[in-house]
Amino acid sequence: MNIKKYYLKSLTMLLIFLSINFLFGNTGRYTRKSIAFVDAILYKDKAKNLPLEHEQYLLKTIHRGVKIERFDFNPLPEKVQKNFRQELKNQRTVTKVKISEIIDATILPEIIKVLDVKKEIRARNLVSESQTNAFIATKAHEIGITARQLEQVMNSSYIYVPFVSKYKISNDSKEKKISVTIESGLIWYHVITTDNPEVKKLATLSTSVSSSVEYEKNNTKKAIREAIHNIAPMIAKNLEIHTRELDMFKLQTPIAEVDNRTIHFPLGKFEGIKMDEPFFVGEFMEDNSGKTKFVNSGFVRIGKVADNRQQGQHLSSAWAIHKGDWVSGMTMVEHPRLGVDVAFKPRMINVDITQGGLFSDKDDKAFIVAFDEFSGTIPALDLSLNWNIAPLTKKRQSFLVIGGTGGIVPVDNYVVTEQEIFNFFDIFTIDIANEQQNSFATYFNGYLGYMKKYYFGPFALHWEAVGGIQGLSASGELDGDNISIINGSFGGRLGLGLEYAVNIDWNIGIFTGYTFFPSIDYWYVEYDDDEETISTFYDQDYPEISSIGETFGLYIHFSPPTLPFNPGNFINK
Amino acid sequence: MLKHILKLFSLILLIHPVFADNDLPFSRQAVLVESTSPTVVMIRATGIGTDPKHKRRPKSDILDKNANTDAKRTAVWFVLSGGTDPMLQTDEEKASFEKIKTEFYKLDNIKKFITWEAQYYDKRIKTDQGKKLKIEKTYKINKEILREYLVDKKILQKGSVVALSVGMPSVMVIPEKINGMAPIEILKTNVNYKKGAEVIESYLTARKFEVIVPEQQQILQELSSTQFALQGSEDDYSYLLALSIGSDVYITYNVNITTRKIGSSTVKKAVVGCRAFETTTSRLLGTETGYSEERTSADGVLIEEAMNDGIDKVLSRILAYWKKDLEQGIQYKLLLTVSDFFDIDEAEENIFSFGDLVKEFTINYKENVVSDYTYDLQIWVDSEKYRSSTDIYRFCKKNYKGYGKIKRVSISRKLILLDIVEE
Repeated sequence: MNIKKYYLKSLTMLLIFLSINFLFGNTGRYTRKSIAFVDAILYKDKAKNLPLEHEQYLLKTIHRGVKIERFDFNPLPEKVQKNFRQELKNQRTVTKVKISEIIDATILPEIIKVLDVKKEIRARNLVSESQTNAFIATKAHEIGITARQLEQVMNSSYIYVPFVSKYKISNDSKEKKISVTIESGLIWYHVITTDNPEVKKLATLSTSVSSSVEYEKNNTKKAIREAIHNIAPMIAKNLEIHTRELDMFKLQTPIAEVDNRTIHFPLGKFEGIKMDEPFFVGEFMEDNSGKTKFVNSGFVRIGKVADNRQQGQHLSSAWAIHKGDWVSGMTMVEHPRLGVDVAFKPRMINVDITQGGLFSDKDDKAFIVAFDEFSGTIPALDLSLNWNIAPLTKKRQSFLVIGGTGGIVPVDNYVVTEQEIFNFFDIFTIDIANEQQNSFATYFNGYLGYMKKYYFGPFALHWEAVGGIQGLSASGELDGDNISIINGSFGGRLGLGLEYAVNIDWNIGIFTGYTFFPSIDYWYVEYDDDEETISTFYDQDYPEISSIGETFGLYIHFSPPTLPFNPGNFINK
Repeated sequence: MLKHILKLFSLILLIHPVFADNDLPFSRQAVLVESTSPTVVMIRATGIGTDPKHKRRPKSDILDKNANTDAKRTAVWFVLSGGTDPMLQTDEEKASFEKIKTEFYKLDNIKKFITWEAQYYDKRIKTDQGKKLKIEKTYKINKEILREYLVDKKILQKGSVVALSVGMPSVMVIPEKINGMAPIEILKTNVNYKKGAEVIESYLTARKFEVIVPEQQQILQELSSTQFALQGSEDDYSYLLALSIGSDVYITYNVNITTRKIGSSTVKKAVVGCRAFETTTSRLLGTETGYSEERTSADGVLIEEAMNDGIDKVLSRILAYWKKDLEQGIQYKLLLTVSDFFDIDEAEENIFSFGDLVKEFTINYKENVVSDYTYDLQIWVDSEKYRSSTDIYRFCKKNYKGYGKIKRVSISRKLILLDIVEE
């Protein structure tokens, strides 16, 4: 493909992806939808079946994920679900048309019944502002539900069918690691309640999530179970986001009030909005052909979430990050995101290594690992997941940070074999010709901490405090077997950064901080896949490896809609 | 050439919204949502906002403010001059209003008539590449405050001084005959019809109309004599009743409730038909159908909602008729019969003589039927000189110069039945 064309296409896709312009069929606000689901998994594309226990767990987790506050759920009796499952089983091949037919025959009558029973209560949510001020409410003291609204409730019903299109297990027996990949999704149908009710397919959503789990003593069953338990919540979360991205389920509302950079709007706990969630703000524009499209002019993040589950005027508030020329009456449109930012932080860190060595004497194969002195800053790449925990802490822009840093330290290090050791006894000089010399060692670090951001328009100041482990690793060979050596340390880091929100999904910035990982005599030495015991060699001390001092770098974060893995696993680990 | 350029420039000034009078409603698109009460109407109005100062990149707050102002003006304009039954009805009223329109449409002034305004727009959309903002918003307008304002400004005449203190027309409300049942009987036995009458009467009293409630015992006797006098020419019960009672106008109505099922719920919709007639001629003045929303509510609520929808427009038409009719004076139906004591030639002389008399005391008259012994006509008299139908009778009796003498058969507020008998 022509590179120019490729970039042009990519840019176009990116623009669409970033939702610069939404196309909407209507200009109204979100109205609640009634949702039903089938308690069975459909296996598409000849996908391998999950064991029943795991299938049940996946189903349960998906239902829990899609059960979001903006929906009213229509519970279906077990008998009806059973009929559906049985009908599904009876079919040799299940096509999309067949599924609709089975739903029509088995589930639809029950949905209609549930809708009928609950329609008047649900229709109350559709009563407009004008209606509450009309004769029917002011004089007749009635809620004012009309037949149109009852019909709207009856026709705002949807049903989804969960499916699995891929279930793959890979077993790396050498590494003793099981990798499981599940590709799963939802087929959404609209329930049309005419004289002859039927379901009509609306959308197919899918996601793929993988997980790798190490196992012991060939207990792969347990590892598979653990992997599926890692995967299922992420599948559910991804499918929730994809569902929220569908136009008919996307929250949108007019702005009630604009107060400098704070806006107030009539959504709240009833719709399930959460602190820090991003919303576009804009307005509907009619083009020359009469088509209407939503044009955004900035975005906000939710600040205070009002409890609008009771009647009354309850307004939530949001604060502008990129603010356009906004006035009340403009529209807010949801931008569904996971609430996890992936942050890349190329940084400079300070590393100090003193000269020293350590000795391992394993039977007839003794060796020394020695480090030269090094002191200076090295470039490193830091990758973290910033998990927005504002709904839990009730403090906006607070994050649980989990991540790691990797870098190369240009320090000379040596693996000296038994033969050379004798030389050491004589003059303690190393025969260069026979030693293994590496010109670098690998620096790595893993951390967990807290980050807080303070936005000032599109700019944000952040501070973070993390604690974690640090390691420096070197390696060599002895008689064809690998020697690896790791020095570990515990410590922490304090950081301060300045960011700029480029758009609703991307922030860039700079940061500085102080890293404190002191030298600790914690060594892990492995030879021929066995851990070795070490000792000092004559008066030669162990090398002292520390990372203490200033750190600085660039900050880039991206808010992905979904993730192909479960970041919660890292915390668990 | 210069003349042409000047003309063109003037035309541009007139038609361009930027140069047009900014204090007048611009969109003039509105719809009546409902008559919430006899004095309050709910209007959904469109407002169009522009920002003449920042043509390239209009400021949102200015667009918004101007669109809101335009919607408010349009809502008031709709009550005043728009729709099928505007408040300003006669040419004189419209001409008088023209003189104060700029002052009237000032935002501070029109706010007085808006009793409620929706917080959210029904629709909000940018057009013309973002240079215009079009909004739809719902307002409640108090027609009574608006009417009083216009009376104060002498645009409208106060109800009590309309046509030299003649007063507002008296109106009788009666259901249409159903299945051969007499309307008064319907009122007594059918709660839906009773409710309909109550709503109409509530509107009439709120608008300061004189309401005449037909009560069977009081009017039966007069009804019988009227029926007797008009025997053979009329058999419309309501018409006869109105004539007997003497209302200026009578309103008939019907109520129909339809039902259907949505799932297990029964939803009902009330449809009411209202017709207003001029009493003296049974001429149709206005007819309107009102609809309720389809709801699960009680019948009474639906009837009131439907009646609210229909009656307001009918009353506007009655008022328009009344204003126009009063320009000719007060209208009566006059029916003269000549006794068969007189031969045909004498009877004819008597009718001619009475006709001459009619010319003396009426401002205008219209002959309906002239036969050998009957003279049926509508007359319009000066209310200052003849304050009641008895005054007319007295004048006729005193000044009649033909054969025989004039004798009263029956006199009600709108109907004068006279007989010429031998002396």
